[in-house]
Amino acid sequence: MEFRDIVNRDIVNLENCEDEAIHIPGLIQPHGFLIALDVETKTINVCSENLKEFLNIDYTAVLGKNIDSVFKFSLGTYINKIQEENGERKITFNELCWGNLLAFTVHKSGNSIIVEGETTENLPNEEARLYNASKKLLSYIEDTSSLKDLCNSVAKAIKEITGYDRVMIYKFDSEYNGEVYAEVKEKQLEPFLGLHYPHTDIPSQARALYIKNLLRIIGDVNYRPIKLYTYTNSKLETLDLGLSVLRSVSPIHLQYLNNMGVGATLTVSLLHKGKLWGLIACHHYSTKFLSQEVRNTVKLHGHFITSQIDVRILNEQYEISRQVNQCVDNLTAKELPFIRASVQELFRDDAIYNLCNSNGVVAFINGEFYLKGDVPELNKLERYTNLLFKEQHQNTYISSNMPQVHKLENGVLEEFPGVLFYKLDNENYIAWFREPTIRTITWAGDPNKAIEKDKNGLSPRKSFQSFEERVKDTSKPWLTPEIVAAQKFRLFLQSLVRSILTNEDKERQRILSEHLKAVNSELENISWISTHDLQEPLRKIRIMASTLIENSEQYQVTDLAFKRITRMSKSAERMQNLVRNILDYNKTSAELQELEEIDFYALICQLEEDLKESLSEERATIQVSKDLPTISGIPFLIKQCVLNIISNALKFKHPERDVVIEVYNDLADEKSDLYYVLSIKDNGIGFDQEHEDKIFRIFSRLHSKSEFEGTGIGLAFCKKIMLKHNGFIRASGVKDEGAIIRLYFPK
Amino acid sequence: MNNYSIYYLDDDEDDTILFEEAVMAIAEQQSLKIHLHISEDGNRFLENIKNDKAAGKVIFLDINMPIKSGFEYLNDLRSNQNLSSVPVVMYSTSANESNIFKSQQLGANYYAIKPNSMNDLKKIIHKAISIDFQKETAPPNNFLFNQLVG
Repeated sequence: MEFRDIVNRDIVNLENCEDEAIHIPGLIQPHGFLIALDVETKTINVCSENLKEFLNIDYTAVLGKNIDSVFKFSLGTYINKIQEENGERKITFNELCWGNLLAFTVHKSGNSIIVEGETTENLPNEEARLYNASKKLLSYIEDTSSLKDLCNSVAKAIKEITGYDRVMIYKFDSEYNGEVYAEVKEKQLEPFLGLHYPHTDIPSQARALYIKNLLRIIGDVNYRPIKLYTYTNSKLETLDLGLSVLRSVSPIHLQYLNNMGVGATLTVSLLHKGKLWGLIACHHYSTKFLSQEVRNTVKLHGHFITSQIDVRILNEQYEISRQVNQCVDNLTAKELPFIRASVQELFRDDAIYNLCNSNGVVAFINGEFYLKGDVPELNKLERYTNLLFKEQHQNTYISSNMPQVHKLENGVLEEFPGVLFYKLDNENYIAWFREPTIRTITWAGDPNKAIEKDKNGLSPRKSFQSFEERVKDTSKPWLTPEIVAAQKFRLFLQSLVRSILTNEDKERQRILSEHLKAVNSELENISWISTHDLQEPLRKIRIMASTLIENSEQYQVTDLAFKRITRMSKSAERMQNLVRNILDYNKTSAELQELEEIDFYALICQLEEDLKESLSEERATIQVSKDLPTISGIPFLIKQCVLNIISNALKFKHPERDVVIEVYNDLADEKSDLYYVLSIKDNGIGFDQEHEDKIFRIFSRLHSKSEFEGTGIGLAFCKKIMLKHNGFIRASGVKDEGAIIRLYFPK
Repeated sequence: MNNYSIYYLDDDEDDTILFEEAVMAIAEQQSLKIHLHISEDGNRFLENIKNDKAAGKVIFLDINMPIKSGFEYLNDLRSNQNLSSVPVVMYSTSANESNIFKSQQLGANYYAIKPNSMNDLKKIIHKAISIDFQKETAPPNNFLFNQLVG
């Protein structure tokens, strides 16, 4: 039988290390052996070259054989168990072989079952020691409050259990840049705590493996990799060692560790919600191997950290939440009157910007700015808020990196990259601002030179001396409790502002109504003046004129003078009518009258009687339908209203036909369900519908005075009367055919 | 030929001239003997009436006057035992209902709105002197004097 190795000989260097197929190296670390067998046939098709060191049998002697025919101990039960597994479970057990205690790990990889064995030793009392160490975990829950403290305690425990020179807990940011979040180390070692590692230090396929394979160990960074062999006729090309414990590490990673001076490592993945949250990274400066039990204990510690992440984050948020809510409570507990000074009062309290840990806050409320703390200068603010108004969604805009997403030339975004913006209404708003945190990130080496080029080509950096980078254009991100507190305050402010505005409205109305009262009483005075002082001279003009006209012969009045005096008298009469009509018009609003039931049919009949003479003079008839409604109103006003309408019908009669006026209850009107609609229809000259508004305006006339006499008050008066009755009036007309006036009285 | 005495109290000179002219015209047309006593300031107004023994006496009172209004004179007349039954016509430009109502309340016999023509004025005065106030009690709706003549 002939054999071949399955070593992956693709050339790996830093330029393609992102693509390196690290899961199929075809090599393992030398501190154990690896056998792979076909799931179906149980034939061994892969074996590591070093099998003999552990099991006293050469790899050439086992390849192609059935597993049961090779080994004394029985793997059967474990293999059967693994065979049934679909997941990525591993089975571990210890077995004494050729005088060595071996730690076995069995797992499935594709169509193969991989069996790995490492030498291990039974330390006395180890189980009790580990049990106690694990038990201690529970006490950490109580002894530490923050996640960081907890990580520190766990790191310390791991160092005690494993004896690594340095135990670090990494935490990744959203871009997988790592930060040394907790560290416990031998005194003489340089601290790495707080250092950041660029995401390029752990390429994505390595991260993927960290998620699958939670624990990785490199016992000796300078190990000589052991080749895996298969027999020449086997169909196997590569073997996926993704879950293997002995998998040989990428040479680049080894060089990286070498550059750091590290001799052995242990890495445990910290998974949170399916994502790589961080790592427990243990470094030793010489070789170091661990028993299965210790490895499992470290894993348990890892699980413990991740199980606490949510709780601790909640805890931290709770603390922030408590602080910011205290601020909001301080503000909302103030007993504030509903005046603008109350807003100023709120803006005197530091709590107003501390409530979301901002640097400053601005509110724009009805034309006034209110400020506290550090905020953009007013001349720059407008462009900032214009932008926010444009970008806001559901009245809100939240950002901690404005300059990275928007551009404004005046530099204001760079001054305040963090903003929490809320619209109060279409023009009012409140906005909290955060200045840039010129965040200092201490990288382990210059992250831009993580890969160094020298005469030997590219290699991972050799310098891990801390490198400071200042990150600008961002502020601290807004945390949920801060946003919630800001929202709470915004609602409070909104309702306060509303109350203030309502109050101011009331005050304005009070002033207005006082002003109105003054104006009204003045108007009443004017009415009195009109009654007397205006009427008086007009009457005298007329009566003086009448003495001349009535005795024209006696006073030798010529024909021309007679005509002029007559015209003069007529003008005075018109003026008198105007004054009287204005008085009536004003009286409508000035006086409060008792409402009475008014039977429209009776009212029209009475008017018909009163107007008998004028009607017969004009050869006019009124047709009254009997189903007219009874409404409640002020009798003399309603009578005046109908009288004015009928007078108009008589006045604007068509020269070629006798006047017919119909008065009826219009049930077909679209508003007749809510109103009694009294319609008065004539067959006069009508009007253009476009003039409807005009005919109800006081002193507006559609005809010249010589055509039709009138003061232009009649329909305006009707409109006012209808308003007083909570109703309204409409006119529709067709030129040369007639007009319909409709009076709407509420039912 | 009947004797009439008309007492007219008004501060407005135009009105008193017109009134006098109207009375003269009536007297001439109707061949009546009318004594017209016009006063512009109310001085000795009440005494003069009291001392007048004429059978037919009518008083015309303007309402809107300085110092003392027509209502106050009306009140004085009605509270004076000797004068309480003398017919009084309130004579004013105002058609204000409250004025009319007040006049009636205070015991005026008629209310005449100052007319726009000499003819109407003559009718008013003639009507006032031709009523036998001893017999006549004006029904409320006839209170508005110039409804009768206008």
